[in-house]
Amino acid sequence: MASLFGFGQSAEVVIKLDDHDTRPTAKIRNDDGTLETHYLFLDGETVSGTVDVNLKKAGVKLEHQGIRIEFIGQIEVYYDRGNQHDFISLTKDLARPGELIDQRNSFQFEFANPEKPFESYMGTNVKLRYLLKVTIVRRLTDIVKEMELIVHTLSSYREEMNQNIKMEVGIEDCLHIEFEYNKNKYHLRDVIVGKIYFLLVRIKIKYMELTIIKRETVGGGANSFNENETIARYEIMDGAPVRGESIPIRLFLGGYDLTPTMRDVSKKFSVKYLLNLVLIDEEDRRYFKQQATTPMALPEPASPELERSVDEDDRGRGGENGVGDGSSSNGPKAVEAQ
Amino acid sequence: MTTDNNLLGSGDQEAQLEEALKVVRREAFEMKRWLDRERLIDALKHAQTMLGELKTNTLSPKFYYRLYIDSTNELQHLESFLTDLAQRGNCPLELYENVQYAQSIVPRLYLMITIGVVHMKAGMVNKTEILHDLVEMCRGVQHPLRGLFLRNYLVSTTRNLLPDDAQIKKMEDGSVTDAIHFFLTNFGEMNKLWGPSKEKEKRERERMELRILVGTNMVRLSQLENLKVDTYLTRVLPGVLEQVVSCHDPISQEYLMECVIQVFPDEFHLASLREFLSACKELHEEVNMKNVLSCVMERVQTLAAAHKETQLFSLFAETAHSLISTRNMPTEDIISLHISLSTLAFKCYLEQVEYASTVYDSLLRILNEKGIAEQSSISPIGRELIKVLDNATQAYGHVGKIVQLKSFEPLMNLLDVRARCRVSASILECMIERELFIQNEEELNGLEVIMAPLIDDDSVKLTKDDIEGEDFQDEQNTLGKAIHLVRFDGDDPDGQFLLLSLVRKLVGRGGIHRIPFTLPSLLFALFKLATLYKEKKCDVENWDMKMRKVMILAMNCIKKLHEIGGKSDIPLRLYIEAALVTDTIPFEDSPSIVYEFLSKSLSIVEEELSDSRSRLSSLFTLTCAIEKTRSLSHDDVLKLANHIALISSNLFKKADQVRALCSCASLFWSTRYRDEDGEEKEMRDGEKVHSVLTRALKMGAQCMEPIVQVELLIDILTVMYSFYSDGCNQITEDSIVEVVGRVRDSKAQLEKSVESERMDGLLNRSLEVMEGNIVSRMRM
Repeated sequence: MASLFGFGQSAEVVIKLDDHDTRPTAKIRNDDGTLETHYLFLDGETVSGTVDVNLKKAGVKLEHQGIRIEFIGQIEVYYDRGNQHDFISLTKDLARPGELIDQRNSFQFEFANPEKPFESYMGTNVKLRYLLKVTIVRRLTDIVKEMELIVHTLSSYREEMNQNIKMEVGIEDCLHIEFEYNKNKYHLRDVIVGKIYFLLVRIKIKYMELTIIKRETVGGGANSFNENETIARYEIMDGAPVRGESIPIRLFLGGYDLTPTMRDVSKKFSVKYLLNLVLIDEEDRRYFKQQATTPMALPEPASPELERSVDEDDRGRGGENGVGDGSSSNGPKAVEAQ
Repeated sequence: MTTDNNLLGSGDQEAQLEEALKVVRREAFEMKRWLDRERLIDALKHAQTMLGELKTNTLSPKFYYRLYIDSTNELQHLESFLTDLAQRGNCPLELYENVQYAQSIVPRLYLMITIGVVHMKAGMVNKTEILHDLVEMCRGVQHPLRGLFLRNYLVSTTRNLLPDDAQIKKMEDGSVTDAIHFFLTNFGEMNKLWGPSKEKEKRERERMELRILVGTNMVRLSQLENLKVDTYLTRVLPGVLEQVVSCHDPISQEYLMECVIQVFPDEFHLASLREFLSACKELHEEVNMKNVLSCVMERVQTLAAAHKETQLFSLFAETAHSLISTRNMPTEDIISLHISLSTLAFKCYLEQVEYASTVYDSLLRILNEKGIAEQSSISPIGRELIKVLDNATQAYGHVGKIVQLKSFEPLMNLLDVRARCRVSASILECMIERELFIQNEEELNGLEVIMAPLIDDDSVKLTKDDIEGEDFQDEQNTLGKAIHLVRFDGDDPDGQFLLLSLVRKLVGRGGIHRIPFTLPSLLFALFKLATLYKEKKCDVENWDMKMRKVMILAMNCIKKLHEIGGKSDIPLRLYIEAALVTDTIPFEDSPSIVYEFLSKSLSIVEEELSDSRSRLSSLFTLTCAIEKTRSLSHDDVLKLANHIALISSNLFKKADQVRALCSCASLFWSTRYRDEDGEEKEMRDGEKVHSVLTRALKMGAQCMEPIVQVELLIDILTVMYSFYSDGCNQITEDSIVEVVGRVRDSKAQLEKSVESERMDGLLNRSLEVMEGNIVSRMRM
């Protein structure tokens, strides 16, 4: 109450990482579509630093019930706001209950090699985030300071494990195509290279495009809830091919807003990417290659060095990737969080 | 707006194009603005929007072309700007990737090409790889119109960048082989795009408009400096031919074969002829093989002629025949193929007639099998047939050589009469033009065979239309001219006489419609022969007899002309001409022959000329002619002169009588004759002159029209005075004075008019002449 009426002491809390000047940063899209920049961590990396508590009024001491710092990994489903799920929660006490007398106080902290199993994610209906949270416990109102961190998960990326996809699909007596993608797994800055062979064409094709769809699944079992979002729409053929024609595919992924594939994260949600081949005929009927769109493990595993390059490029490129049509720029249409 | 079927009318197209161009201009402007600030990404965004217009579905090739030109012009700006930048090292390599994020494929590829070109120019990248990538990625555009233009852009922007070195100098630059590969791939793809589609009719027109785009590939390919014959043989031609053969589309095949023929040099064709021709056999049934083969033959013949390549002809002949036998070619095309073959034969082996002979023989065989006959000159077959025959004419020129082609005449006989005449006439025209003479009997016989339709009345019946037709007259005139080509080898008058008598026989078969054109011509040829005889008098035996024969033949000709009727004035004049010619060459019988000619003409005047005007003029002519002769005897002259005087005084009009008498009076005075001793003398028969003039005066006096009377009297006066001054004693001064008096009297009665003034003038002039001599008595 004292502070409420102006007599109490108040304090400014600053969290400073030990390696703040060397640690890379990464950007993540916020609820409102803006980009936020935070420090980037990988799984198992130690998070250490100092917490400075600066008292605002000189000569007035600050009474507290203890000061602690927490390292939290949290999943928040938007339609179920109250129910945040912390899959990680580590706590370190910085000070026992007492009072702060000096105007400047500094506390060291270290979370040694904490597990960070999931990738930071900001989706349509769900977000997964990591944060450092300093709490100065007081009788009435705690002083809280949070610092968000971004975590990228790294995956082993072994070329020989990566097979190309080749499949023949079609509608009887109408359309018969064979398509081929060079891989079934792509990293975030990869290029999809492929070819489409037309074995039989009896429809008047107007054009053909490739779309990347992000499917975010929240919940599990019968209660699961899907949200599809078209990340990229890319025309790969204009006009009608003749039989025997092969059309090249080359799609750079780096320009699009992709995340790694996430499977059943903490039993709360999944994010998958689908590569969808669509042919549009002259009557504007769309022929999905539904068979073709078997879930493509899109940017699931990413090699360490490529992960790092994501970081650098994002810094340089921001949201405006080349001359893309901006189909990638509609960020998650999230329920507005307060 | 979504399908090709929605092509608009041309007015709408114009509007549509205008809209699109507006966008192009606006976006291009924005693009340049950003370029000036070196904001490449922004500039490229506008370039992309600009190129988005090229996605249109609604423009026909013509309009699309204009859009394409404007858009690519703007791209040119972008390209040169970036090239500048690249030279300063400021053009990032990532641009090539950046532009690939474009969602639409058409703008994406245009930009890729542009950036690719910039990078290649700056030497920043591996040329071969980029070229390969571009040519492959362009596959994404399968729409014919857009694809063709896109690939055309690819070919035209890369034209100076393609590797053109025989050897690889720098690994990443590649060699000419890579360029060839590039062109062949691009060409293959364009050919596919250009190929036929289901909506056939509509596309056919468009395709004709678009073919030049496909052809561009070939042109560029042929411009590679290091494309050598062996590379052409091993790589280029097989690739192209395979494309051509496999596309199974007649329009493409025909155009592309022609393209190949036209763009590559002759020596390449000569070297690859076997391959080319064997590919020809595999082309689509509907391809107009005639065009293709003719085209290639035309190309190689000059070179072949220089090389004297003997196999060449048989190679072509073989191909042509196998095509003819395996395909269902229209007859006119078959003929036309033979035209090309014959041209080749003539060009390369003009002296060896057997080559050309085979061509004509085989054509005859084919046409006989097909039962072709009586082709008119306007039917397609007839037209070609005439051409193939003309081809021989032009090559050989001389009929003597043409008849060596045994099939020439039979082929000619497949035409109808009119057309045959035309072929014959064109042979003659050709000979006339080149002054090729007919020098012996054999050649004349050849002429007889070929010219039968022009000459022979028995084999060719003429209709009335034929006779009155301009063509007939032209042809017969030509034939007439051609008679002068008969010129016996070596100036031998006897030989020439023999030839001309043969000609006479030939011409004689022409019937009444042809003779009027040909006989006069022959006649003059005979006159010329007569002159020749005169020159060679000393060299010829039996000279007098031969001269006589010539002139008899001439007379016979005129007689024939006379007999067939028609206008009489021509035989009349010919008789006179013959008389004058004979008169200049004195031989044994010449006086009697001259007399014969003259008397014949006189009898024509007397018996046939009914029109008084022509009668009078003929009399004048005849009088002049007789006055010119020198070889007649006194009696003959007198006979002729008397007769003329008689006819004159029997003329229908008084005025004509007076004039005729005045003119014939001089016959009795100045005509020269030869007396028994062979001396030349003048008639000087004053009595006769006097009596004729007296008669004229009498007739003049009877003339009722005063003005005419005055004129006649003045005429008589003038004539009288001329005799008087020439020493004719029978014309006295008194009589002249008397006439003058009569003139004055009559003139006095005239009313004053323009006419009477003219008379005054006439009289005064006459009097002026006479002054000096008879002045004193004149001015009474």
